[in-house]
Parts: sequence; C-alpha cells; structure tokens
Amino acid sequence: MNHIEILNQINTIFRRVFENDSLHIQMETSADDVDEWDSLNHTVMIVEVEKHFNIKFKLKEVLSFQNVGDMVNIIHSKVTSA
Amino acid sequence: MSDVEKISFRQATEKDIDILLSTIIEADKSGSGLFSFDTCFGISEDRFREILKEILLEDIGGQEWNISDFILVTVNEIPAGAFCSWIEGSGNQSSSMIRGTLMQHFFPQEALQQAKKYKHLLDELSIEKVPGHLILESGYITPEFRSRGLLGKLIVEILRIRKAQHPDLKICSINVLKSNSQALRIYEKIGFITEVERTCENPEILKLIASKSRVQMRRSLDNLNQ
Repeated sequence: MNHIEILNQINTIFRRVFENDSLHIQMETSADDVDEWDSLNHTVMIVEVEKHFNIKFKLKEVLSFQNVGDMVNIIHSKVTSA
Repeated sequence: MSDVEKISFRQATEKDIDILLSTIIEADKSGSGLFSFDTCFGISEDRFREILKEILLEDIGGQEWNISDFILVTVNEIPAGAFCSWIEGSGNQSSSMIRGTLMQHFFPQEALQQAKKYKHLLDELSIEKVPGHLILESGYITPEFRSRGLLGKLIVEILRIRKAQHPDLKICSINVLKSNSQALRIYEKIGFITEVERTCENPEILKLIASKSRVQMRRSLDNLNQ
C-alpha cells in the first residue's frame, strides 16, 4: 500500500467520522482546516484509523502529528513493516 | 497553624500529584456537585483519579493534564493550592487536540462513545483558546487555606513568572463557568475582563455541568503592576 492509497482510505474515514461527505483531505491538511475536527472527533478518528489499518499508534506518535501527512507516513511505516 | 504564615510559590513535581489530582477534579466541579467526567463520560471520580494519575505522570505539556505546568502556592511549606498555565499552541497541536489524544489513549472506549451523545450540548459552550495566549486552567485552593486571597496571589505570581520567561506574551485568558461567581469576582479584581460568552439554552446541559453559560476572560500582560 502506497501513501496515496493510504490517504484515500483515510479520506473515507474522515468523511464518516466528521460527517462531511464533501471533505477532501490532502497530506497538508491539519485540524485547523476542518471545522469538525475537534478533540472528541479526534479521539474517534484515531480509533477508526487504527481499526481500519489494524495498527496501534503510540501516544508519542499521535502527539507528533502536525497534519494528515504525518499520520499517513506513520501508517505507511507500520503497514509495510507488518 | 502559626500566627506568621509564610506564603511561597513553586513549580509542581511528582510529589505533588495528590493535590494536582484534587485541583483538576475540584476545578471541573466549579464548586458544584456535578463532575463532568462522570456526567458526560460515565467515569466515576475514583476511577477518573486513577486514570488522571497515569496521564499526569506522562507529563505532556501544552495542556492542563500535566505536572510541570502547575505552580503551587504553599503556606508554611504545606501545599495550599495550584493552577496550571501554558502558552496555547506552542507545540505541534492545540491543547484540546492533545487532551483528545490523551483521552483516546487512556479513557475506556465506552466512555468516549457515551460522551459523543452529549457533544452537541457541550459544543454550544465551547470557547476556543487563542494560539499565543497564556492560558490559565484548573485552579484550586484547598478548603483549609481559603479566605486569605491565595487564589489571586497565585494567579498574579503565575503571570509574573510566565511574562519573565516569555517577554513577548501579550494576553492571558481563562475560561470559567458563569455560575462560579466567586472565581469570577477574583479574576475581575486582578484585571480580567469578560471578552467572550457562550450560552446553551437546552436545560439538559445543567445535568452535565453546573452552568448553562461559560465566559472567556482576558487580561493584558503589559501592565502587570496595575
């Protein structure tokens, strides 16, 4: 699975969690760019991403996310090393 | 208690964890019997205390659930109260996002699902913290040390410390429930002015927290001697 495929799958998760079918995220997208991306939705989104990719983020990994690209990179490293 | 009281201030350490746990829990109650992590998340106070202890020991800055950002006021070396402060957005993420991550990591999943049911109500009272502001949150003085002006003295000391550490800081802000009239009076007395107010008209909100209104008060840090 490459970075673009991961991004597309995350986009589907984001649309469901943030209840916004028109959402179109990029690698540079951050919480500041998505109105619905608040702390509680953030927790749900992380859980859904972990379930979907069958991975578990470390606390320090989630706290290091500055944008979607950071998440994609960590997911990529986890799914390719599994 | 001796007649001469020595009031001091210091940064919290792991040894102070019990008073920090009480500070965060009692600040959440805002003088009421309602504990929002029970009413919104279904987590009892005792269980929350256990979870919060784990979180505090991670000591992740930039939000109110960490040890190092708390300043304690002591009377004759005895911890009498504490207040947390940080510069909003000074790290990678906003304080609400960091706290969300901590909740996701440490709270039971069913608690997060329960809280989602009340999100629409809580959102109505949400006031965003402004990046670059010095944020004050979770302040508390233990009952035996009240009525001595310690909360106000603690805040003034924190403003002085943070301004000395970060001379470019311009504004301090604090979110407080409007029902907490005692705290509001203290903040006004030391120069805070209400700048933002949110109200939730749905009476259900009063089953979750003690007030239907929340305000954000701000104070300039350019005039600390006034």
